[in-house]
Amino acid sequence: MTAEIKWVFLYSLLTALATGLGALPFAFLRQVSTRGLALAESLAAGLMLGASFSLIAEGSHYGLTQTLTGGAFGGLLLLAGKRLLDGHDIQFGEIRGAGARRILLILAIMTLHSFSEGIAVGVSFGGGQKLATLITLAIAVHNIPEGLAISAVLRPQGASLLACAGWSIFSSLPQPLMAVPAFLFVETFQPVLPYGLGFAAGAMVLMVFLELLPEAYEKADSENVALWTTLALVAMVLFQTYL
Amino acid sequence: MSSTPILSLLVAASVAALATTLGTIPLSFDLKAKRRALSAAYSVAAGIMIGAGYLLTLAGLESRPSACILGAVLGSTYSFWLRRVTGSKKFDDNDLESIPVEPKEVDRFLLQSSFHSAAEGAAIGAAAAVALPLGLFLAAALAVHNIGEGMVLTHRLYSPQATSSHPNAVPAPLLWPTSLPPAALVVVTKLPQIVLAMGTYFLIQVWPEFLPLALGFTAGALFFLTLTDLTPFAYGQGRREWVALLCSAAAALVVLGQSFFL
Repeated sequence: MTAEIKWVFLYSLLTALATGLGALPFAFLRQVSTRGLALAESLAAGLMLGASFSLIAEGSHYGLTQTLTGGAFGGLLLLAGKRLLDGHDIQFGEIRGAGARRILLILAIMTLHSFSEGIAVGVSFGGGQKLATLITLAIAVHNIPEGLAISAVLRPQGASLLACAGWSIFSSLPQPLMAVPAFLFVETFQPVLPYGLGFAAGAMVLMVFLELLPEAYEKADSENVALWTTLALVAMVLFQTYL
Repeated sequence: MSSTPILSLLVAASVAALATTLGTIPLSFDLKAKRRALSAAYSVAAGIMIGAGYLLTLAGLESRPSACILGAVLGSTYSFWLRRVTGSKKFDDNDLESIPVEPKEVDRFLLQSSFHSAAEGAAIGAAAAVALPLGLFLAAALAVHNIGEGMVLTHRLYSPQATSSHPNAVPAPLLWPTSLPPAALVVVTKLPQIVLAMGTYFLIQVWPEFLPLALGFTAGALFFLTLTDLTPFAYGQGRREWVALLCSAAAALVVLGQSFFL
């Protein structure tokens, strides 16, 4: 049992570290123009919508109503969080104002949603080593575009590449933390899973429509925003279908 | 092929198209109230489209993922290209006060509206091919959305502001009958919705192997049109918070119908 727990922890830690790879494409990006900023926001919006689609589809296997209930809570919590932050002068490292608020919100959502993914990894170990390896690999690979979505918000605000990778990994740290208890108490955690997946999806969808899309529309033509968002959404679906 | 689903689909698509005329009824809203109502209507419509797009994608992925994903890429890039070719970018002004449409641009403005309707029609047809209740639901949802669209079309082409600054607000366009009253003109732009709904449905019945590609194509086009036509307009007329809430809630309701529709 102790050896198995060690594997669960190591596997889920691997999924968390994979999130840092999402920062890599931004290694070649020094300065970001207004158009580039809109593109990054559209990209993040599409990736988050695609991720929400997968979370809802996954959650509906356990219970659609529970997933959507979790989604409603996620959305409302995000709205409350935004209202709370709106009245304050937010600072994130060197970054201040609306950019800092957006970074805090996206990090909060991504970190919260990692709790559900950690539970998914832990629960999947109950189905045997082969299933667990597959699920872990799938979650590790799909964490990469999530890191990309985080970096797409952080990097244009002036965050360093290391900071992008570091915060991306940080957002996934709840995965190893949740995977072990979920593995040990599968029957307790499994019923919570659809609520958690829905919660993450609801918060992400709200983030897209509350922050990312309106900001992108202010900086670029709506047809460019629409095209990049749709293509990023499709890419996320492709990624999660085949990997 | 049974005639019952065809007839149901034809009636539903026609009702959706005719609903646009309700938006042309002159009501004495003040501009602020009109903006709020339009923002809410467009937010709900955007949510419904995104929810429907999700269901179409889900059905396509279950059938043949590669064809569905290829279709989605084609659907979105084709819609993008079509807007570029028709030069409809200039009508993307999302401020209701920034009417009127220039008289010489009326053709193009109406052409853009017709392309928008065509994509919606294809989505109804593809949805009905997956499951008739889904197609009928989408047609009903679009009917509600079309009322708002009728209001906007009428406002931009026939409002007192438009006619005072351009005495011939809808003058001698090349393609469109000039003397048509607003209700008739908006119905003309909605005809492609009926034609494409029926056409897509028949195409899939005859060549069922195209179903995943068609589902992906319509989902891609639907996402693109939602994000290029509906959400920017909703943000332009109302508060972000309400747009985000209404849009998400409408999408969630459609997704909730998944077990019923699919």
